Amino acid sequence: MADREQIENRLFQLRIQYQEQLPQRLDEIYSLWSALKAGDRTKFLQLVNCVHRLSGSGAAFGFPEITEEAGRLEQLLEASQSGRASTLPVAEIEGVINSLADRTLN
Amino acid sequence: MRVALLEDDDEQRELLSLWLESAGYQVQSAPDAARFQQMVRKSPPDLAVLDWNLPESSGEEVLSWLRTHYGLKMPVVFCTARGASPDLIHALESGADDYLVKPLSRGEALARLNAVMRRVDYREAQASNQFGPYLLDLQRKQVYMDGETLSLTQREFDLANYLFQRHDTLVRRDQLLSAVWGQSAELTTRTVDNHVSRLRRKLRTEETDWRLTSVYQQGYRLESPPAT
Repeated sequence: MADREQIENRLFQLRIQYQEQLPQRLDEIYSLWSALKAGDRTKFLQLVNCVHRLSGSGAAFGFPEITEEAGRLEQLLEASQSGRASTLPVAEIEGVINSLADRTLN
Repeated sequence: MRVALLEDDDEQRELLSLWLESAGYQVQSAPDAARFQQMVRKSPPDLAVLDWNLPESSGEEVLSWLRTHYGLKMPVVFCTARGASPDLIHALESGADDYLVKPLSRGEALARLNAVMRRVDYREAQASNQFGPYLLDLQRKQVYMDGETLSLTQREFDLANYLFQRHDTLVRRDQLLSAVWGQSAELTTRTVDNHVSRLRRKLRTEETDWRLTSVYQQGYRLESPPAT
């Protein structure tokens, strides 16, 4: 077992690593969302999973605002009928994605 | 205290492992059910922490496997997403001991796992004071026989506890006097005999296979039933 200082150092590195990967995760969300908006409903579950992972991890790594925004996005997606274009609140979803981007990239 | 962790997300798995290690737990972890089962078979842990939603299997399947192979003795805590209340209810009803909601919080996760382990320690302490039909509750200073409370005085409880902890061993009268009444007690061994005689009646040994026998000029032996 590692000593306390080693553990805390590794936890710090893990937080940085998580933060560094956020833009990549956001790109994935943008890309899946674009495909879904264009009518590719096969991307719906992938998008929900991607957003779900973000909402379920952000606060644990020290980013509660990521959990909050991703949680809002997850709720909006889940309220739609499995990504059917006519049931997606596009403007609202894009607003939350942008807000998530603000929090992620700053 | 050894913890086995099943979590498919690499970062969350490492994060939780580190939190647990920082609290003194020894952690072994796996990213999928197959490797988790292999790991547990090789070295069964004191506590299992499972992610409820796994890509290729489910926490429920793993929980069921643990209960089949290790019974109820191993506490199982599962992790689930916020707001997944059907999951929570289902997992608890399927035999999980507690749950953690994602995103995890270090303080809450450790507090919950520590609480689960305290309950296990208590259960084990209770179990270690079970002698056939007799259960000695050291906190309440009560003796139960097949769940029925036996009415013992404080002194009789101390005497019973001393004898049960040394069952099948000869205990001298002066040993009992010193341990139960205290070194300075100016009492005769007759006191011990009277108490033992009353205790024997109250333990209703004639209804069980236990015997509290006198060993001439030496002391007493609480005898457990012969092995069959």
